Amino acid sequence: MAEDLRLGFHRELEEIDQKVVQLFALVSEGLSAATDAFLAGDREAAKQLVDRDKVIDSLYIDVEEIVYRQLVTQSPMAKDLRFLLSVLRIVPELERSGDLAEHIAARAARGVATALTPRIRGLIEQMGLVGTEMWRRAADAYVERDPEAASELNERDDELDELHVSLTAELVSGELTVPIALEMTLVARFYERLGDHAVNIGERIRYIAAGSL
Amino acid sequence: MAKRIDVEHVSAWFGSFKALDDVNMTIEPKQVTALIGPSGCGKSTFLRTINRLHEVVAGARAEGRVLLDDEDVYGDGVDPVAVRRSIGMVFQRPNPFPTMSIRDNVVAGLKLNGLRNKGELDEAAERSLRAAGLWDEVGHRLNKPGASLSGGQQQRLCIARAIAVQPAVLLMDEPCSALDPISTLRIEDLITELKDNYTIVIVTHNMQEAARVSDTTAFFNISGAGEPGKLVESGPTEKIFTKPDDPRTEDYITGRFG
Amino acid sequence: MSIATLAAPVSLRRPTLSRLHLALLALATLLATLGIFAVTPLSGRGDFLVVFGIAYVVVQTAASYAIEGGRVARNRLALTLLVGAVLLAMLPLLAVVVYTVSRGATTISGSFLTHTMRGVGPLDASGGAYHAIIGTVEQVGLASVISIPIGLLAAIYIVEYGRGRFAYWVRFFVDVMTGLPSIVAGLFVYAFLVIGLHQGFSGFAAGMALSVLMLPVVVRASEEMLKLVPNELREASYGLGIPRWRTIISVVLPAASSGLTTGVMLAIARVTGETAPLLLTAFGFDVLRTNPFHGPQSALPLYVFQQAGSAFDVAVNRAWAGALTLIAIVLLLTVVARLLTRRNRLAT
Repeated sequence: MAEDLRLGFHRELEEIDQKVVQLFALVSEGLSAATDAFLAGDREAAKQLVDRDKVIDSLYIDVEEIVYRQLVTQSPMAKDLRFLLSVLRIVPELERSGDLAEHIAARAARGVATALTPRIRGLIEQMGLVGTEMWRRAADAYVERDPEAASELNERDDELDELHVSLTAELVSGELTVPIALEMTLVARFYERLGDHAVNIGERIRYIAAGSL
Repeated sequence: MAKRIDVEHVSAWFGSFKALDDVNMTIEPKQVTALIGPSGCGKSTFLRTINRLHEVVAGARAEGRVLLDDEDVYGDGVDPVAVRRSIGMVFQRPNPFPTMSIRDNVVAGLKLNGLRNKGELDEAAERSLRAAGLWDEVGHRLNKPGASLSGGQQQRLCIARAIAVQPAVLLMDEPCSALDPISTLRIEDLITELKDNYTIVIVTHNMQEAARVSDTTAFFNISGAGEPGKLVESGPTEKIFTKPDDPRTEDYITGRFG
Repeated sequence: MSIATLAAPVSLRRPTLSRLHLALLALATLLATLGIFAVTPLSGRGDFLVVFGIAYVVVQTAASYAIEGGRVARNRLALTLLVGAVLLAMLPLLAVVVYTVSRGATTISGSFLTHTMRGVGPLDASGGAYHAIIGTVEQVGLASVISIPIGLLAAIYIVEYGRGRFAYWVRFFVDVMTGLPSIVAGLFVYAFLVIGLHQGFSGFAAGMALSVLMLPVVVRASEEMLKLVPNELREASYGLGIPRWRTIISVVLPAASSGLTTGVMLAIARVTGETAPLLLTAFGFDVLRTNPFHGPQSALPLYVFQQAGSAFDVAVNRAWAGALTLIAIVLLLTVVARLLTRRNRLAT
């Protein structure tokens, strides 16, 4: 008897959930693939990422539409309301993160990676690793509605920030040409932003689970 | 004028059937407290134990203490009629007295309790009708019969009638459920104005209304058919409607059970 | 039934018998019946009506079946039989009224209504029912004064205060009393007051007997009217802290007032025509007696009874006139009561 009510609404909520999970998958895999593509200078892989980003963009619009419809027609309360409001704040972060991964991969076409020092390559690899791990953690946290993830992600983001600082120091040291260095600062920035987005998402997940921001 | 209500271990019966079990809560003055819950959960019964209207029904009784600013309305020697004079009530269906004019309806509580001075009665009528937001509409035709008004106006008339006796507490049993949406919103606005001077307790089965109108919300529930109603959770309205403590509350609010 | 049949377009119209058709059928049946009566030994108005009635029902049903179809024909037949039953039921009532009017109208006059039987001999056509009218008014008035307040208070007790066994028994006894034969009420008052307390016959004794009959009617009618007052009004009043007795007086009774008035008037109308109890209490008197407390008194039903029992036509005529007066009074009371109900229903 209890579960028979509001079946249509619950189906829509599940659809939203599935699409968000899909978005998470696309972003975290995309990040890992982007790092590889960038370091290998793989143009094919980079192109695939551009296509993938288009999928992310359209999925993002889908999710927002479904969420708006629920807010208008279903007067959601309590955990349903928290879920829908949080999804509205999470998906833009996912979409932006997808764009960032695409930007990273785009540098592969410019052959930037060949001009890097081993140290800088290592730092990029490391940032890619930490970033991907953070995103996988965020995706799991979303599925499990884990309120603890926010603080974990915050800590790993500190790690990412330190890597960023190291990378910046390396770039300043002058071993690279100016155009390459400029590109690399941007790439470094992208990774750092990706970390921030993951942290924000962690906080939204905490709101869904525990009702506190 | 507005008083605080402390409810201690209140239970209520209809004959041998226990309708309400061990309710304990505090109702703050100058606030609106909403009572929500599924049908038959005892929220209306609880409301009526506050002003001792429950015991008017043949065979009905209540136990426990209801403290109105520290004075127990169920205490020894307390006159239920006096209790009801200081606690006003508005009912689900507007019930103006059909044989009385608008003015006589408003001052019925005063007049039928002995106040005769015409000047004072007229003043009370105007004051109450203004407070109820009805003066502009009926001030010029106070002698028309009370039943000649529309549904929303009749309910505001009943509210004016209840506040004319200047009670400490105002109880409202689903006051808007028989009205159209516009009248409902008018009365909700009125409730928000009135809470500055009264303690208001409102029973409603409309959760959006409870969310709009109340400062505190209390959720009542029954565990099964034939079981007594109980208070499950009571707390600030925003908390109850975003993250209630009790999963039963959340289930009810999100419509995961009827 | 195949899909094709269901899907076939069915016209919403069907042939019907109009009023004109029915009128023509009636006329034809009338002529036919006249014809039958002309040729056969059947005669008499009563027989004519019966034959015509049956013939018409048969003819109408047959025509309806042929033109309108089976279902409509059955409907018409049922409707016609029902209407016929109603007419048959009203027939005795109408007959009584019509016959009374026709027999009484000749004798009734201003003089009849304003003169008594003082000095009227057995063969005199003069004389009137004035003393009887006064007697009825006084006796019914006394009965009302006794039974209306008591009946109303009893009804208020049953509805507003009665919880549990006592109210149940009160209601039970009231129900039993409604079935009390009127002669028994008269006999009781006769034995108790007339003989037992040595008061002798009087209008007051008649009033007592009538009140015994009137009381349960007032109680039941008032009880029903008070029950009709919605409970929410009482709740609203209690909610304002108005005590119960005050609620009854200022809220419940005014709300029930029109219904209570109607109930009371119907009780009066009912009791005005009671004859049996008067035989043993008022006893009858030929001359005007305005004091109901001492000595036998006349009353309209008694008057009718006594005049009708005479062998002489002049008296029988006066009986009819008296009956007409009585019917007129009762009818007036009933009509006013009904008008009051309607007026109050419209007002809310």
